[in-house]
Amino acid sequence: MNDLITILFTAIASGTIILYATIGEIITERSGILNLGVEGMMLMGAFFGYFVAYHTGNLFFAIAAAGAMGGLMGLIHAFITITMRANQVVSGLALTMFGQGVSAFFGIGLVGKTLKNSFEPIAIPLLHKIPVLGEVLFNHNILVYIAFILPLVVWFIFVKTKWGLAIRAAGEEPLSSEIMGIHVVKVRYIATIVGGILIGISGAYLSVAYSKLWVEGMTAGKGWITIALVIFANWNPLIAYTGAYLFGALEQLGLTLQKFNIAFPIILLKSIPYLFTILFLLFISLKGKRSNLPKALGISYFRESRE
Amino acid sequence: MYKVKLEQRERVSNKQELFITLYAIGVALALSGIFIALNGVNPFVAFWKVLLSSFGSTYGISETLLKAVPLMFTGLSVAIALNSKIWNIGAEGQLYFGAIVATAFVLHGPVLPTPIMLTILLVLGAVGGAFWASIPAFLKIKFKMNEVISTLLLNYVAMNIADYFLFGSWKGPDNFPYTVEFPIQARLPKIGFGRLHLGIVIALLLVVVIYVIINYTKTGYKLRLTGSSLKAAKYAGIDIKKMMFAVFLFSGALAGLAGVIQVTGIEYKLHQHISSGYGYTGIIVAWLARSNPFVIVIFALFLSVLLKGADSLQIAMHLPAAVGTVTQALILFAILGSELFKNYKIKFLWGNK
Repeated sequence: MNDLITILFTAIASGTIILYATIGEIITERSGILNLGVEGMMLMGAFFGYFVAYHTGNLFFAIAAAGAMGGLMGLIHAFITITMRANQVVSGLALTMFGQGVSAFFGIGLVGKTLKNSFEPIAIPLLHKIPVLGEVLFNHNILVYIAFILPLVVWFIFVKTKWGLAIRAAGEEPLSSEIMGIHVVKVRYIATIVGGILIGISGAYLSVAYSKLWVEGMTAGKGWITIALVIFANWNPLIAYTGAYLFGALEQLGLTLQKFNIAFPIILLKSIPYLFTILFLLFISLKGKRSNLPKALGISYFRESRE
Repeated sequence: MYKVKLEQRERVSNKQELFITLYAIGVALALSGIFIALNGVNPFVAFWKVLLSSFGSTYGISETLLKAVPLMFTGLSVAIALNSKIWNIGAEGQLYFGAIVATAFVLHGPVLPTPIMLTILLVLGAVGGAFWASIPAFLKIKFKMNEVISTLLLNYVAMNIADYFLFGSWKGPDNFPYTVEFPIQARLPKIGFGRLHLGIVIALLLVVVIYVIINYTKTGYKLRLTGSSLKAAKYAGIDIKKMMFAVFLFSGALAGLAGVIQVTGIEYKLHQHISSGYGYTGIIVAWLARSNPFVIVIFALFLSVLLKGADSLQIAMHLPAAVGTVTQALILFAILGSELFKNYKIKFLWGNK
């Protein structure tokens, strides 16, 4: 029983990494911009967050700095794909390489350095006393709680507000939304930058709050898994919960099987998250329609081409 | 007040295009100079060191050519897929899988005379790479799964499989994660210029063969048609699914060959670092070369200088080796940015027009 609680608790903690990034990528993709640079942006967030946390000792400052770094990378992607009208796939790949390179380049001095302070778990009064559920859900640090609320907020913005409508319109029908008075270029810039901020935060959560250390390339493909989870979530922030925490649980599967002495090569267990991500995608494809796929996703939009 | 207006223009001439590309590379190198300077190293000295290490001696030249060989294979691999609008981001994994299959034969199969042995290894490596590429191919064709994600995720899996053997039954006698050295029969012969081996001859032959296939055969015509317009290809009665599958397999086979060439050409064993990201750098080579096989050779050489340069800067000036990755990313950004200048004329309009 205790094992199970630990596994589920860690699943929530590790699913949070992906949840921030998935919500960020959903915002960006909903506006019509495909950002394949998540892996690199997460690494930049992880590095820069850790860097700031190490030198200032202020954890919230570190998270904010990582968000700013992610937003800056989002801005680069937006500039290259929207203003310079370049291929979104290649720009994303360049962004990934850039993040991997720069974080390794400047992060070399942080390897093996430990932080003096860390995000402490906050037990939510009353709720954390609920058997099992309370222990699994309500004894986490502040960033995990924010991630509980974030998808709801973004879902609300999408469905109920003018901004949400503008983002979805830009991703579905950029031409007609421009006629309706939506500034498509501006909307896509903002969505890409905001998405970048959340992806940057996910990286800092990973290094500063979750693993509490910096290792070169520490995201190990989580950025790519994020992109797959966005499809799994059908671009819906509420389904993103399921995908992210399920993935968090899968990551724990390896450790669990080890504990129960199941005869399976440990090294191959490391492949489980990648293989399951592919299975997720397969499942989605078999289920049929991807109803929320933004129609204009990945397609450059030229304002003057309608003139 | 001025306004920027973009005017679509005819395709630029080859000469202009070359000029714009070179200019973009120049900008990227200047930016990477800033990164180098941030680390307290004079970028001019660093660049000079890079040039010197690549071209300053016959040894340097042979090493530059040596490093360009796997890049030619992975560049061709990505390019052949890109020609049919398929993104093969999985050349890295296909490279490893090809190397694993070939290594399995060396370790567990009979030792045969060199020509037979090498032929078998090359074929096995190509088959291994093709097999690894057939997974995303199947998923894309049958289930419309985006190949960018599937090929990339499979890279991690391929490297885990390599780890599984390297930390398991293939572990060397001194308990480090690499295999025993390959017998002499399983080593590509040197061609008498430094460590340069037969792999470069195979690569160049493939460049010519692929060029001929693409431009002068019926298959090549079908390929080009499929790449330029799916609709047109359908009307012409081309079986697009079969075509796509074949392209995936061929692309994977080329990447798999890169893996065999690495283990039989220079490493003489399998270990965790037989590729320094050649699968990913291959994407840049293919993109820069616009999928033209001959131009791939040139850009494979260029990126080889860059990778080798980063290595030598690490040794000589204690710069993190990641400076190579950063520079590659900057080149991609700059080339992407330069596309605008190829497709549009930029006019600055003064006043409020």
